Amino acid sequence: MREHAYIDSNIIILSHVSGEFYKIIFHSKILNNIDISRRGTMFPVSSTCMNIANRLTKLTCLTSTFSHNKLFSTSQCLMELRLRSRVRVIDNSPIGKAAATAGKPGKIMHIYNVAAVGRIGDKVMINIMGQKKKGYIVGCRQKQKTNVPRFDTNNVVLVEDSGTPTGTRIRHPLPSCLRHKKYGEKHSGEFTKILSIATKFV
Amino acid sequence: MNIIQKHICRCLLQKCNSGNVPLSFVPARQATVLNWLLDKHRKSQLSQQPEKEDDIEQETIMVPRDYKYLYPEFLPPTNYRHRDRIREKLERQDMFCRRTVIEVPEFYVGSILAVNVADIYAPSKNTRFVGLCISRENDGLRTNFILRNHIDGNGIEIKYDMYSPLLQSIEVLKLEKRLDDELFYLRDCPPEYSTIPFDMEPIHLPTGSAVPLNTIKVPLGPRPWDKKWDIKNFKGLQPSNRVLGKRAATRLERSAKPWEEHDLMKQYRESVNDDDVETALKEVVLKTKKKNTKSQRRQ
Repeated sequence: MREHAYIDSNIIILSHVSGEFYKIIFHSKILNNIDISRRGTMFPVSSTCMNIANRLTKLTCLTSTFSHNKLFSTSQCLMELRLRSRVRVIDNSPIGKAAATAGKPGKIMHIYNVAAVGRIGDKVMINIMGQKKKGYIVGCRQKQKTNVPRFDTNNVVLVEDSGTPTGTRIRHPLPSCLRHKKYGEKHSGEFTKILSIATKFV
Repeated sequence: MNIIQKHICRCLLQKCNSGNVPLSFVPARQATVLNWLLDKHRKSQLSQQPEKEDDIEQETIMVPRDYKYLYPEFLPPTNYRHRDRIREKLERQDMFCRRTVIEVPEFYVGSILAVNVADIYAPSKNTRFVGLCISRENDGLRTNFILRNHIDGNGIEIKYDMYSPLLQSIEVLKLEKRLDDELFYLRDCPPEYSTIPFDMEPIHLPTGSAVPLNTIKVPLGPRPWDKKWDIKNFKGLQPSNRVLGKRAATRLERSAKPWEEHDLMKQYRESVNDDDVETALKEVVLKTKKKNTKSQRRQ
């Protein structure tokens, strides 16, 4: 599980440390300066608790000088596929091509797993050109294990509700690990249809 | 805590006590090995005694200078906290065992490699990937390298463990060095700088020649970038004509560390002691000698 830090009404709750050190910081310095609307927001934490403390001290400076509407990122770039992250359709379906030419890539509406983080081989629901489509993630920008390719874009292959692929051919390379039978079993044979229209594996 | 450490811990505890304190006070299972106990074990004569067969030969061995660059993963880690003499020695043995099976060639960041990996899902039971080596990390058995290529409009990077049993062969297609130690900035450069054809034929260098240095300067593509490459002082990047705002300029000024190139202590911390290098590489020389004599006998 990824660690999270919450800012509640009065205390900071850290999932792995509830040291008083952080509480004191919050009571004395930070909490008074933070905009009320930001309380209760969640801060994904990359490494340590000290990191959050550092970031939040920066936050006080920012809130005092800049307008409250200005959003800023407090997390390290994980490049995870989460809700509303944009994906690129790599099969030759007309809707995918239209999205690419219009410069309006599909957005993930739902990820069919418990963690709600899309990884290679996961099924997702996509909002593309105002339509609701389903698809499979075939290639991520996120850091991968050894021997698994990391792509520069988040690639998706569209499928119909019945499970047949929308396109007829995939002219881009797919990761070879997708041929593992665990993906086929998980999605009851829908995956083999995608693999059959693929041309290249890396 | 593994069995050996447990055993050492117990033996030492028994020795230290030597009857003055009843053993029942000593906790039978501890979460960690105490540092001073482990140090005592390392300093003891038992662990410092070198192997008998190497004893005579090691004094006369001369380590060639280029071995430091040929076998970088055989050197102890630069971080002193990660060092462990026994573990390093065991790892070196394992690495040699692996090197008897496959040939690990000399290569650097910037060289072009072709790697064959066992893949049970492929019909031919292996896959071949060709790419530019953009980083080489870690030490010992955990050494890995990343290959990058641009295939059909997709930038692809694959990380390989150098001593993984899945690797079937590593072939150097073009031996070259670049100006930087890592080339992750190629992610945000135009694709032609990381495109390598899969049917590329190996370019052989004349024997005895030095490794060529590729002094190419790569232009950066349009923003947004993965990281702020332009302010990180990469030698292999063309200077960008990005105009910094007032805030960015002050940030750049603040992040600059001009004293670091004169920081002798930092250089010392990031490098390995010459004596440590020699002890590690002497083993390499010995093993290669033995390997050569064995192969001669077979012939």
